[in-house]
Amino acid sequence: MQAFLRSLRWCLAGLACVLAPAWASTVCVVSSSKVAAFQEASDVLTQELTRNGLARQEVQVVLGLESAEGGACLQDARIVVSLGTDALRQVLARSPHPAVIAGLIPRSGYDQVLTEVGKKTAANVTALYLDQPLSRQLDLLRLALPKGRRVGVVWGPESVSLQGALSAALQQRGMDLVEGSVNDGSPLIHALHAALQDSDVLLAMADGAVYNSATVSNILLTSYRARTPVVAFSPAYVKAGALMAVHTTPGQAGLQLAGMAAHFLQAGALGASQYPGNFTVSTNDYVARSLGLSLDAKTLTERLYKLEKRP
Amino acid sequence: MTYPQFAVLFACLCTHMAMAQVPVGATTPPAGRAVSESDYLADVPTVISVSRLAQPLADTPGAVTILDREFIRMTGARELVDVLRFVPGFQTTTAYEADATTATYHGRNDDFPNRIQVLIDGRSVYSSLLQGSVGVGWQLVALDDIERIEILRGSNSATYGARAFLGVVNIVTRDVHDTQGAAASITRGENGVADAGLRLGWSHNGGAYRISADTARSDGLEGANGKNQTSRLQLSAHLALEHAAELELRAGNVQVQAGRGDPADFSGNSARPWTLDSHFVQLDWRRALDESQDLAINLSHTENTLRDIFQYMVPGPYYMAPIDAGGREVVDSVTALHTVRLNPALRVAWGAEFRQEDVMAPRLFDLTAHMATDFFRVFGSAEWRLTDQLLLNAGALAEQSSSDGGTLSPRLMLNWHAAPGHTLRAGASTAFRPPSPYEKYARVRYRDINGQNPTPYFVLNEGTLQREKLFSRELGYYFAPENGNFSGDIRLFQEQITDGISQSEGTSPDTYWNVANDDINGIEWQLKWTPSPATRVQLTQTWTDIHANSAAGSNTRFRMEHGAPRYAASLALMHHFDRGWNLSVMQQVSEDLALMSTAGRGWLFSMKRTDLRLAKEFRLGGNQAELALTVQNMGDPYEDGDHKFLFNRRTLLTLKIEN
Repeated sequence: MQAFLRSLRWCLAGLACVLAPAWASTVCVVSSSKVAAFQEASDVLTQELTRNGLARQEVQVVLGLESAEGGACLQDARIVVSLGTDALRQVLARSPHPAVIAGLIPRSGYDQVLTEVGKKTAANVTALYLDQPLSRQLDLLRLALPKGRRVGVVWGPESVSLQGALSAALQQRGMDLVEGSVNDGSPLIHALHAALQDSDVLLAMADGAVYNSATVSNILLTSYRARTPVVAFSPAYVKAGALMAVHTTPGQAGLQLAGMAAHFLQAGALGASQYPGNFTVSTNDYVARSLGLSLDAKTLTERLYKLEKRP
Repeated sequence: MTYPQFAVLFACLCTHMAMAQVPVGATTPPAGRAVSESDYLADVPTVISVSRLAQPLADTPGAVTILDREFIRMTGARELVDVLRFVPGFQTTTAYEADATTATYHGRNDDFPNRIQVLIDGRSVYSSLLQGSVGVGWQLVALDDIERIEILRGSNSATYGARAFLGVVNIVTRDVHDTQGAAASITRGENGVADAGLRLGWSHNGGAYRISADTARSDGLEGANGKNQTSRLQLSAHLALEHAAELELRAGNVQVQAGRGDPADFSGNSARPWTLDSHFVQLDWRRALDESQDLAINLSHTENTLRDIFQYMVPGPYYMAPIDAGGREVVDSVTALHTVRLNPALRVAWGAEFRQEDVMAPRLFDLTAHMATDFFRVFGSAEWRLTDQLLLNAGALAEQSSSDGGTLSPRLMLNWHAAPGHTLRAGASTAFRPPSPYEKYARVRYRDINGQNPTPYFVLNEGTLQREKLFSRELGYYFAPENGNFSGDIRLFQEQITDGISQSEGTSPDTYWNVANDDINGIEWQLKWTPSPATRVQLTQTWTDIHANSAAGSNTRFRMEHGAPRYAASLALMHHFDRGWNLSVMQQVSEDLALMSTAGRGWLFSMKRTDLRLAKEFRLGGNQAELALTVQNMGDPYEDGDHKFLFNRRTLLTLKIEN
């Protein structure tokens, strides 16, 4: 890994000298928002690219493409890194556009944007998803709750597309799926009760019709009353009262996006869309203790990396 | 997989638990749109706030028994006290003679159980009428509305106040979000059993609501006077407020109609009906101030009216004179509770309560209008994790009573997690129970039918009675092996009561004195075993030795010494078969217990009761239904509460439907 980074640094430095005009942006980072998560991702992305040889001027960060600065950034760039759904939409709305790496976007959101813009526009675009592969979530579940065999899930219109894949993945691991759904018009509380019926854990799958600001309280409290731990999809849910989550921090995403951009600059081609290689496990130690569980986030993260044979 | 059961929430807090939300930055995504990065990156309000976090049973400052909804249902019990038979150290009776059906822990000093505290959703249902009692409290909630019952075995005055002298029963009703839709039940059976219940839950504009009504009727115990009927109407609401605060509203009306007395007695204890009306309203406001602290405020208003009046039928100047033991009490309470996690190892809850109890019973206080007592309590509890293995629970409650002055009740309990799944605990506490207004101020005499010619006093108290005191020590062992399918606890206890309140014996007039010194020693244990997910076994055993040194007299001493059985045990076997069949077999034994109205006879009673319940779950018109056949006391009748009252075999059929 270190050797790769060293060679990458030299390549990038060489590319910067030979190819880049004095003020052109080689990498244009288009962000959807100024909030901390986006800022952190773009900061890490910029730092990593410059640390590996690009001149600071060659990495330009803009907030959307509405401004003249945004348009110039896009025009001059060899590669665009979009952060968030809005940024990706704006970039793909420009024709032609340079190669695009979409970051800070979940897979379903990315697929939806690509469907909207059509195949032609979607060419020359790849993504680093924000969400985690099912296999990783289930691996975490087994590591943290080895006795948990029955996994409760509440499906909504967005998440139900994962039903088949999750069912198969659980079956492969000798685990059972306990389902509830709001897609048939059932009230959320009924779907939740169905998913909690004799389940050992509630696996939260992001879906605005199920998990949103209006429902989070009832879901976490109902699960807690049922003494069923919730494995969530974001650290915010862990802070709110879920037991744990595996997630990729904006900084980790920025780091990996930098690697993908560097790869493009070196190889001239985009790789396939991918799930994040870097991740973190967050646990709510107070909830764990209250449920009689003993978890250590650092150990779980290490074991999960080990399971995926990553350092 | 089952996780350890919830214990009481930290400190006094099960029922004051904050359900709060705090906005902490970016807004969370609204409903009804595609998944985006905001689902993964936005902040979410704190939901499981600091006071909501229940203590695992390994961390509680004492032994706790949890009876959950499933267990309660599977017992087939009709009366709340019937499920307390499965708690180590408890004595129960379904007699309505001295009180409504009642239960107490480690005996009692007279017919009224006044040494434990009972809370329903945090509201004390201890009644100060007569000698003070929790008897009425057991009638105030329907079994179907209960989510779980947490029984804190051992003195808990440091957290729950003076009435938690020997223990606390904390009843948590079902959350309104869990009871959406409709449910109905009907029971018919021998002994005139006729119960019916109806529940409706709905949501509107972000609020969740429940209204439930039920009535329970039976012919009572053989040999006892009168039929018993309890009718309840309860309303619960949960509202989400601005700034992520929440409000819960509860209100209810309960009426108990029962009979007591002896048909052959025309003087002091004639057979007559009695009624109790109870109304209450309760408000709980909660808000998480941030991730590590929350605030809860509780307000409640309760009114209890007891009507118990009959006429003196012995010919003479007092012929047909009214004998009225009735009364009315109004209780108002306001409590504020702040829970804060100062660091990962230290959680503190502290707060204050103001409580006013106004008892009006002109016939019992000789025409005194009413007896009002103000209580002001300040309390604090700390859960301090000294090391990974050592946990110290320290708490104290200072109580100032307008009638009895001030007291301080501290408690210390050290839990040592000797090995994963094995905890030893040791601790001590002190407690003070103030006398009830009746015990302290009762002045009972009667007048003729015209309200003239008062008799001499039959009961006379001068208001000098002091609190009774308790020093309690215990050693405990809690086990829940990580890979085991069983859990339980053992409690070795020594409870020393000094200046115990006792009624005089053979004096005229009767009076209450601080003359009892009682040592209650023993050991009790409970085991919960789930050999398979479908099977549950619960076993309890208790050995109690009470040594009473009462100057009140030998009969009083006898009643106290045998107020708890020398040996008691219970066993519950429950199994879910395929195709919705459920079977429960329960047995209870109790040996050498003194009952009411055996004064001077030195009689002790033993009993054995076996119950059976067979139920079938099925779908009925798209609804979940269950038909259950319950046989209570399959064996011989046993004396229940009094040597004249018999609990006969009863077969009951219950149909429940829920959508």
